[in-house]
Parts: sequence; C-alpha cells; structure tokens
Amino acid sequence: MLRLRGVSLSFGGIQAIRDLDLDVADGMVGALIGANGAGKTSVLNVISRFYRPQAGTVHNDEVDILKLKAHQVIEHGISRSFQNVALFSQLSVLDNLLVGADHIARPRLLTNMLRLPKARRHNREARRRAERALEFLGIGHLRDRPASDLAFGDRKLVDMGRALTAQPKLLLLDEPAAGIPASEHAALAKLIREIPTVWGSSVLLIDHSMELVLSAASHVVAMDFGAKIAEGTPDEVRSHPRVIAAYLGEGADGQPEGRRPSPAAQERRPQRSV
Amino acid sequence: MHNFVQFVVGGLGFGGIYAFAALGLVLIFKTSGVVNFAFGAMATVVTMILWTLLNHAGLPFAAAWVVAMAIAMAIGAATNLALLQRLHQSSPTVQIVLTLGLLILIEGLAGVLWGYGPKSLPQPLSGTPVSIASFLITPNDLFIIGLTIVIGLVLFVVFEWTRIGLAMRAVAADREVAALMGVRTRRYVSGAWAVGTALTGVAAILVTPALSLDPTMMDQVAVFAFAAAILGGFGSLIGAVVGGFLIGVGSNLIAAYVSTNLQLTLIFVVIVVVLYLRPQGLFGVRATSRQ
Amino acid sequence: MSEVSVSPVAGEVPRRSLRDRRTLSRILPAVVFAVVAIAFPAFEGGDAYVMFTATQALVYGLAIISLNLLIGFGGQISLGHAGLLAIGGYTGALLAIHVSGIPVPVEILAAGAVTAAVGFLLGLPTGRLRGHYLAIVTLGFGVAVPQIALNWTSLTDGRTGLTVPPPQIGNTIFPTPTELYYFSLIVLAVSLLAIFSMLASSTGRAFAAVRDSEPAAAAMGINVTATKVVLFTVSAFFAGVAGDLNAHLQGLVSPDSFPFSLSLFFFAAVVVGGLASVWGSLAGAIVLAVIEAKTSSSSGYEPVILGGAVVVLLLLLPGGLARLPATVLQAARRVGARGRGVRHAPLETP
Repeated sequence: MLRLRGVSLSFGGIQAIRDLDLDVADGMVGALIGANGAGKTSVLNVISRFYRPQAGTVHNDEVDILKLKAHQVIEHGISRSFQNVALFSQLSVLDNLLVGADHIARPRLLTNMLRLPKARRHNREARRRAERALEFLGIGHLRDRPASDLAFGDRKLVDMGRALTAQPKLLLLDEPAAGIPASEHAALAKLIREIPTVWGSSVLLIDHSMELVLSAASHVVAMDFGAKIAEGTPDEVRSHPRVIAAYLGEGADGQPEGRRPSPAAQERRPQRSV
Repeated sequence: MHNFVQFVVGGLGFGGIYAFAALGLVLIFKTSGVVNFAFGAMATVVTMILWTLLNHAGLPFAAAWVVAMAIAMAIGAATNLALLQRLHQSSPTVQIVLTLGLLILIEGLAGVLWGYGPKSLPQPLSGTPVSIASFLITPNDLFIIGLTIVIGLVLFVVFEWTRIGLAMRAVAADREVAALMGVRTRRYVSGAWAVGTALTGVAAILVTPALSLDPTMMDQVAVFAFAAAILGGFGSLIGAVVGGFLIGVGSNLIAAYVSTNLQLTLIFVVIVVVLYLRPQGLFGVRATSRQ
Repeated sequence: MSEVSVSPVAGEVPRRSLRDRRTLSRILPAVVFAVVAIAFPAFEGGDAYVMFTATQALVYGLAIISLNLLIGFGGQISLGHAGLLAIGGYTGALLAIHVSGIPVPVEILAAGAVTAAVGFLLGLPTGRLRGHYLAIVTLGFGVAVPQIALNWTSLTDGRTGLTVPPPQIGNTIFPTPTELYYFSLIVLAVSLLAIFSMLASSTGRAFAAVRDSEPAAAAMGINVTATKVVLFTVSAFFAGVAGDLNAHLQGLVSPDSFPFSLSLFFFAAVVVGGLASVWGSLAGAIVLAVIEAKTSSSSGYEPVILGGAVVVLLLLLPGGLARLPATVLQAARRVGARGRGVRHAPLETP
C-alpha cells in the first residue's frame, strides 16, 4: 500500500506539488489526472526518487521510500514506465525486459563471468518472466528486434513490459496513452485493468486521456497546480465542480478545454477599484 | 622566499602559452559545444607551415607569423565546415571520436609531410633576462605575458560587449533558436573555429623554442591546456587565461621543488581534484541537479 | 511477491533452432576465428616475424576488446588505455623477474588484479564524469603512468626498462615464437569465454543499460555509479592481462613502449572495428598489427591510415567494420529486389 502524506515539491521557484496526500491500495488501479504542469509526473518522480520533496513522507508498506536511493526503489516493489519511453535502444526487446528481471536475485560479477550455475539459473528465470510479459502484452514476435527499430506504440509496450517483468507490487505508468491513437485507448485500458489479477500488482497511472482513466482506473485523484482538487471514483471526479471549473468543462473527446489563471497569477492581477 | 617568487615569475611565460592554447580550446567549445581534441595537432601543422615559410620561403618572422595565422584560420573554418557541421547533431561521443580521429590523422600527415626529425624556431623576442624589482625575466616572457593579457581582454570584450559576441553567445546557448532568430550560425561557428585555431597556433609557435618541433610536440602542451581550461572553468575565456597562468606557475613550481619529470603526473592529479571538488572550475557556472 | 500463473503457454522459453540467424551470426565468427587461429602456425610457423605479428594481433585483440567493453558496451570513454597495459606489463615483468619460477597463470592473474585495482581507483572519480571531461581525465592518466614509470627508477629501471623472461609453468618454458603464439591464443580464448559469459548475464545487461539510459537503469535497480566503477575495473583487468602478454611478447617493458599514440590507436581500432562488437575489435587488432608490421614508425603512414579510417568511417559507416557484412547484405538485397522489379524489402535486423 502506497501512502503519500503532505508531499510538497518545488524547484526553480515553481511549486510543483502542494501538500499532497495520496493512497494506492493493494490490487487497485489508481489514476492521477490533471493538465500539463499540474504536477502528475513530478509525483511519480518523487516516488521513484528522482526528486527529493521539500516536505512530506512516502511509504510503501511501512518502508520509508524517501530514505532510499533511486536504484533501491525497485527492490521495495515499485517499478515504472517513462513518459519519454526510456528504452535501452541498443538492446533487443527481450534484453530490455530481462533488465527488468535482473534485480531479482542478481548474481555477482564473478558468478556471471565464470557462468556458474547460479548465473545460468538467473538467466533462465529472468527469461521465463520476460516471456510472460511479452505474452501478456502480445509482443512476443518482437523479442529479438532492436528496441530502436520499433514503432512508437510497440516501444511503449516494451517500456511497460520491462516494468512488469520486474514483478512489482506497485506499477507506475507515466502517460501510457500519450502518442497512442484514441482508437487504441480502449485496448490499452483493458490491458491495464488486467494487471492486478494477472500480475498481482497495483497500478498508479497518470495520463491526460479521460477515456483511458475512466475505463482503466477504479480510483481517481485530480490535481491542479500541484494540489489535489478532487478524489473518488472516475464518475465522481469527472462530475466534481472543482474539476469542471479547473477545465472550464470538457470537450467531446474528454480533454480539458482552456484554463483559468493560476492562483499566483490571479494575485498578481491589479485590483479593480470599486 | 625570493627564490619562490622567482620561480613564480619564471612560470609566467609558459603560463601565457598554456593560456593561448586553452583560449583556443575554450572559444571553440563555447561556440560550437565541441571539444576539439585535435587542437594541438592543428596548431602543430600551423607551426610547421611557419617553419617552412621561414626556412624555405625566406619570409621575415613577423610576415610569416601573419601568413601562418591566416592559414590557421582557414584550416579551422574548413575543418568545421567539412566535418563538424555534418555531425553537430550527433552525440558528444561521436564528436569526440571524430576529433580524435582527426588528431591521429593530422599528426600522421604532419609526419609524412615534414618528417619526424625535430626542428627549431626562434623566439619572437630575443635578449638576455632583464631585472624587474630584483626578479629576472626574459623579454620574450614579457612579450608573451603582455600578448596573452591583451588578446584575452580583447576576446572578452568582443564576446561580452559586441554584437558579434552576442551572436556567438546566442549560438552557444541554443543553436536552433539562434538560427530561427536569423543568426547565421554556420558563419559564427566557423569564425570561432578559425580564431580558436589561430590562438592555439600562437601557443604552438611560442612553445617551439623550448620544446622541439615535431608532429607530437603539442601532445604534452594539450594536457596542460586541458588542465588550464578545466581549472578556469570550461567555457570561460577569462578562466582560460587565469587557468593558463596558474598551471604555468604551478608546473614550474613542481619542476623546481619536486621534479621536472613529474609535472604531467601532478597536473593530472590537479585535473582530477578540480573535477571532483569543483567541476565548474574557478569561473564556470555550476549545472544544477535536482536530487 | 505473488506470482499468478497464466496460461500454460506463457513462461515457456521458445527453443532456438540451430539455423536461427542470430545464433549463426554469433557462432560463425567464433568457429572461423578458432579454425584460422589454430591452424595458422602450421603454415607460417617457420617465419618468426610472421608469428610475432600474429601474436601481436592476439595481444592487441585482447587490449582492444577490453577497451571496447568500456566504450562500446559501457558507453564510457578512455584515452589512456596504454597506461593500463603499462601497469599490467610492469607487474608481470616484476613478478617474473623477482619471483623465480612463478607459474605464468598466477603471474597473469596477478597482473590483471593489480591493473584492475588501478582501474577501480580510476573509475571512482570518473563515475561522475562524462563526455569530454572523462576523455580528458583518462588522457591525463594515460600520460601520467609512463611518466611515473620513468621516474620510479628503483622499481622500474627508468628509461632502460625491464627485460622480461619467457613465461613458464613449472619446468616448462615457452621461448619460441610459435609456443608464445599458442600460449597467447589460449589466454585470449579463456578471456573471451569469460567476457562473453559476462556480456550475456545481468552484468553485461547492466553495462548496456547504463550506456543507453541512466534514469531507466536506476529505475530498474541498477546502481549506475557502481556499475561504471565495475566496468572500469573489469576493462582494466583484461587490459592488464593483455599488458602482461605484451611484455612477454616484446621481451621488454619501458616507458617508451606506452606512448599516448598507442592509446589513440586502440581507440581508433575500437571505432573502426565497431563499437560493442568483439569480433570487430579482433578484426581491428589484426589490421593494427599488420599495419604496424608493414610500416615503420619513421615512415609515418600508420597514423594517417588509422586516423583517416576513423574519420571516413564515422562519416560513412557509423557502425564500424562489424556492420560491414550487414550493410553489404542490405545493399545487395536492395539491388536484387530492384532487379526483380519488386519493391525493396523492409530492412531486417542482422
């Protein structure tokens, strides 16, 4: 169970996250929505320890995540995908996924160089996990292709596959639908919905696509300018007055239309004399 | 104490030489973002050309120097246009590999064209050491120091206070945006390469009387120049000058108090220490990270 | 962590047929190389100079492969590799001279270990550095090591250098060129086995992950800085082994054996042979050894050829020699398809 309490993050004079409380329960698909700059990616970056928040705590099942270094987060059950799909471009798809599994019982250098039984066992086991992820995502036929060779949509699946192969307790998905045609969002949502049952992982996803969020998530948190403005089931959130106000209503495709100025900008506006 | 200061003074001449080499390196890096590992070899070729002008064309020293500078600028600009422009979108590794390949190639060409036997060049200013405030210094060293300071200041003024300098800074900051703003980026980058090559050429010409001129002469100087640039902050023209003098004085002190043979080793230690403790050097700007 | 089973199909590892192109492209060069290398002395064994050059190629091969580990597989830079060879060479020479009767496998492992320790120390500060800063620091290292050797006369005899006795195991000594050749070949083969095993393991994948995307690597549990240090250490180990072999081959170690240009040549060979290609590096080593044998340093064509090759290759064939067969195949396929009046086939990965 992931717990954020009172997390605040600012850099360069910008308040990216304000006093955020967030929970992701086991077996749940949770979603974080908000416009660009609302702070969603920053939340993921705080959880995966790329950023250090100025205030607040982050715990996953009693483990204090903020005490960890970035490369230790996965050992405590949290893996992630990346908005810019940071694949290992010179490796094959399979190798990309194998890296995800490598953290589990990682053999030592000498064991690997001498190809001792432990190393061979590790490779076999990692291969098994990777094949499972490839099968689940339907990209098994791509396993030997160099990652740089793939279409964008497939690369996103590899990115997700790599995070799944790590057998996480919590999977962070950073804009899984970005750059994917709207016609494919439903299939993607179905895939994400199945993750808790097939993989036993809970999911926290962030995205702009209302359609994806509505069909994939059971619990939604809406953010605006770094602060939480609503929380609940997808339907509750989408009809929440503050959410509607933040986006001046939604367009036909579920995307927010227009914005009102930030609280800081509003303060700067000259007061009208009465 | 007197000896110590004398050693400091004695190191200033080389300091100016390292400053010139570092200036050339930093100017090119500042504008095009490329570390030209072949900068020493290109300077050696310029010096070889000077030698040929002196000994085979019979030109007087000053005239030969001017011609050599012009040729240096041509070489610099041509290298940029022919090669680096093609790769300015590539990763830093590719650019490093390319300039290293150039280093090997140019040193080899110099060897083929001029042979590996050492040659000599006269000092620009000859004469016995003069006494200033009871410290001895050669006229040549005074000339070098003066020239370094003057050129350094000129470059600084041009870069910071003129429109040309502004254009170069724009190109350095963001080449694409500068191009969109109508800056002829290729022209300015080539210009920086031209001037930078000439500056390093000056260093090579000034150092030849002390070392002997052969294709690999600048390999050693290059290490000192790198140290100077790093110490000063890789991207600061003033830093290149200050760094150059500091390295020159420092290495002279090492030679005097430890051993001439360990100069390179200790300068290497200096590089490592600076990069570890204060990567931005004396005058550079620290890049921020969020962790 | 709970694991839920899916369909019986999931989790099965597909078996690779022997005709699978990928496996073939891995085994074929190994077989060809092994056959040629083993049979070679039968034809040229009489000519000492040829055997010397061939052994030099093997030794350079290991040196260049160890550098390729760093540059091609690990994405780092080093311009001071000759410095590591110097450490391996001097360590091996000193052991052979002062520890009489030392079995050569022990000597080699010791030379590798000492060099690895130095590589570790070099890797520690460089973990933070990248790009040209890393290049400059390693350049300085490569220049500093021969200088230290020059000055530490009590240990190294300074400029004179140390004469290296032939390698020996027990009472057996390998003085002849052919014996030295086979001995070097065995060391190279064993090293290659270790290197290939490492590359196909979690360690090798970690190197590549750090090279390709440091944030993603960290997110997948890889300690980026520690991995870089390990990379430097492993690369240095094999460089030290190559240095020891080289010392026996040359019969002499002196500061002049390790000029900056040697580091540059190794670097050029890595690029020319192909980044992250072990066989490409071996090909580059053969090219280097042959050019060295055919030209003398006073004629100066060696650097021109190598430097020119690097520049031309970077502009035309970014993948290096290793990519040459694949590029030729693709070109041939396209020409063939055009000839048959067919739209050219999609590019396949070799």
